[in-house]
Amino acid sequence: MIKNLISIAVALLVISPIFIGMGYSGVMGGKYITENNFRHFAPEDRPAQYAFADELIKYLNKVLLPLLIIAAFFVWFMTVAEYYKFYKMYKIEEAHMKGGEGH
Amino acid sequence: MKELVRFSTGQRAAHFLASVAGLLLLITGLPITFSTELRWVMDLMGGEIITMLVHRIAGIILAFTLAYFGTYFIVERFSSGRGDSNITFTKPTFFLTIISDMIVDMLWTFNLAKERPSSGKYDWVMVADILSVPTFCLIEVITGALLWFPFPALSFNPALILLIRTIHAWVAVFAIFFVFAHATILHWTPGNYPLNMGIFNGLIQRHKAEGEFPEWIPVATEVETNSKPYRFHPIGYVVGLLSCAVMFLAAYTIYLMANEGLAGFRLLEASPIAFVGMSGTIIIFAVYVFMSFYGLSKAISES
Repeated sequence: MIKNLISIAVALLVISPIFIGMGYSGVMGGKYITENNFRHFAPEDRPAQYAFADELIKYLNKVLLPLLIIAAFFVWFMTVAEYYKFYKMYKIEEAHMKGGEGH
Repeated sequence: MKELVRFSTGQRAAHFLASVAGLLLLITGLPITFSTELRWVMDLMGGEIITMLVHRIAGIILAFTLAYFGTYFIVERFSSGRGDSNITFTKPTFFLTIISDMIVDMLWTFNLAKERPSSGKYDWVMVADILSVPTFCLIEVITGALLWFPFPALSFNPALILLIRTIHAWVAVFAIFFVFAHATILHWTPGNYPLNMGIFNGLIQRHKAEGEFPEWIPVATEVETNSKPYRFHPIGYVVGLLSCAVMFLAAYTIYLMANEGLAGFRLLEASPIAFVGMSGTIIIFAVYVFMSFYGLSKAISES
């Protein structure tokens, strides 16, 4: 009980900035992109900012996309293999325990 | 029938909230990345405003669940130790054991090893789940919050918001396979199909645990219940095959994707395979949401 109460209290504290944020921005807060945007930067600085982010994303993608494809097919293969494993285990269990009738 | 107490109320509540919120996040979020293929999802839900509202509400629930169960886990470890769990963070060899268990388990599956690795309460698949889910959730909650309230990133470099969006999409796309794997293996396999009730009622039949988690039996708590012997319906093979087939199409869809820098991580050309794969994914995830509520209601009615 006390563990649950502590956990709920901490969880509510953790998500509270989201509700505070909702009060300051978006439809509830009145402020949004017009008051907090790229206007922090002078027009001549913006191309450099965007070029940096563009290169960064492309570089990360070059490394991560092949990993993502390999991971996707690996997880798929493991799922098929695990399905077969559970089929095998079920057949063994069914032969010995008949779904638990003995218990 | 003899059953063993497997999950606490806190664990079951966290699993239910995280699974429903996570599935809703994928159902409402994937149409952004696959905007052509999954336009029908947004249309069906009443447009992008409602879809994004549901996405944000589900995001708050996921953030709450992550913080709740993270705190619960830490408090419990400090107050009661690890109890009947075999997961330990103080012995580095534990994680090596998980890798070796995975290899031996696969060898046994294909008749290349005589015996399965003897597992405690959580086998290698479950340990991988337990470690991966909070990691994915944490990345998605942080990047999602930054997309929702982008001002800190904007004041540093306005274009970084596009990098955050890309990371958010990458992890979400990988989460598709994680959800498929988790649900197909632990719910739709022979022995579990149509729904592994253990995570809903907190119990596992003793004979099943003897086969799957033999080292856990001596420390587990036993109870006598009215549950009936398990029977597998052969239609489960069709469901399993369908799930694996859609998962393969989804993996192939990722192969078709590319990133054009600031334009984002997306499909460059429309593809019928991507349409079938991603639409099938959404439909299966919607079935998972329905099954989650069914499992919860069944557990409550039987308690």
